[in-house]
Amino acid sequence: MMLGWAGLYGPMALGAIGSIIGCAIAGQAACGALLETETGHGRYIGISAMPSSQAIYGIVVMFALNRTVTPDNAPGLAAIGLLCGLALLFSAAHQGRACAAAINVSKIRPEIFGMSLAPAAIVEGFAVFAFIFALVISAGVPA
Amino acid sequence: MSQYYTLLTSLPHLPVLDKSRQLPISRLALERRLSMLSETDCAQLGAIEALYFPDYSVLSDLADREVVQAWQSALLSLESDVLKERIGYQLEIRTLLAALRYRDAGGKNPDQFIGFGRWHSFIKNHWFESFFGMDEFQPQIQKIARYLKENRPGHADKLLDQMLWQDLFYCEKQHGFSFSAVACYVLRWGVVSRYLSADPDAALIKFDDVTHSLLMKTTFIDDLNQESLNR
Repeated sequence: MMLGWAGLYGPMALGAIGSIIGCAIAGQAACGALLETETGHGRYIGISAMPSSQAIYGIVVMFALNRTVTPDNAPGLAAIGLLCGLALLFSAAHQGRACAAAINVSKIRPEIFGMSLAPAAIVEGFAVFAFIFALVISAGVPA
Repeated sequence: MSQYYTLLTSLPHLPVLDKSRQLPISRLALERRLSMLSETDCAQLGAIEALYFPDYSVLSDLADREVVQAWQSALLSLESDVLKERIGYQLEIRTLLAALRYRDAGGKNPDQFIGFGRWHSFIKNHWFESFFGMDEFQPQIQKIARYLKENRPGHADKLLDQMLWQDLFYCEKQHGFSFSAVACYVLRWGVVSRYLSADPDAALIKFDDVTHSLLMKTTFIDDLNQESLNR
């Protein structure tokens, strides 16, 4: 039963933890870039907010899983919720690093700004996979 | 750990050594940025810089054995294995060049040569071969040795700086946002600084720039122009 509750809140909490880590990493890199550049500050701050999407995915998955926790559905909720949450956590934390790298290189060569965001966008893609399939699978968990 | 993200993105890009015309950041500004580091990191960085850019006036007072012992104990005090490796590589190159100069100066007995690193015993075992039998796997250093033999120390210094710059650049890029990357950047800055201070062309350009900007700030150039018109 307790694992069921953990699975219910897990995607939200783990996604938020990942977003905290990712946004902090990218934000620190953006702050450094602000010192070194004269223009383009807005986009550095914009990139540093990219890892916040995982927390939003976590909230949506939490609502999709939200139901009365019973001994029948607790294992399903735990498996989907915790695994999806872990995927969101890791993707957000590592997306933060990818964003920091993008900020670092686009500071040197602003013309590659778009291209430098590709790694962060790919990481986002995997977070979207985890999110979508958690929604699909959650339909099969007994109410 | 977290401060490395801010610090590394706040440091300006150091262009390739050949294209460097002036330092993108002064030592004063660099030290202001480096104040983001913890006390331990600052102490480590100081030790690393002292090893990489030694004070030759201090070294000249010491015997070879003492110098090598000082290097070894200083390396042991470093925490990062990555940086130990990079600094060790530079010390090995210095050992190799020292061996070449020692031999060219008439040193006949390899047992008297004291050096540092992996190549030390190899050098002793191949003392009488043209480049200690290292022609194949160290062609760049061989080139440096040739410049030294041809009495072209400027070219030798330039090539050595380019080698070290590249070595540090790859190391920095491999280690992302970490203390190793910060240390490699600071060492690269030092290499660029040494390179620019030794490059006569860059010095001339800098001199012209400074002279021009100073002249533009005064009326002296107008006086000169007026004088030439009067004539």
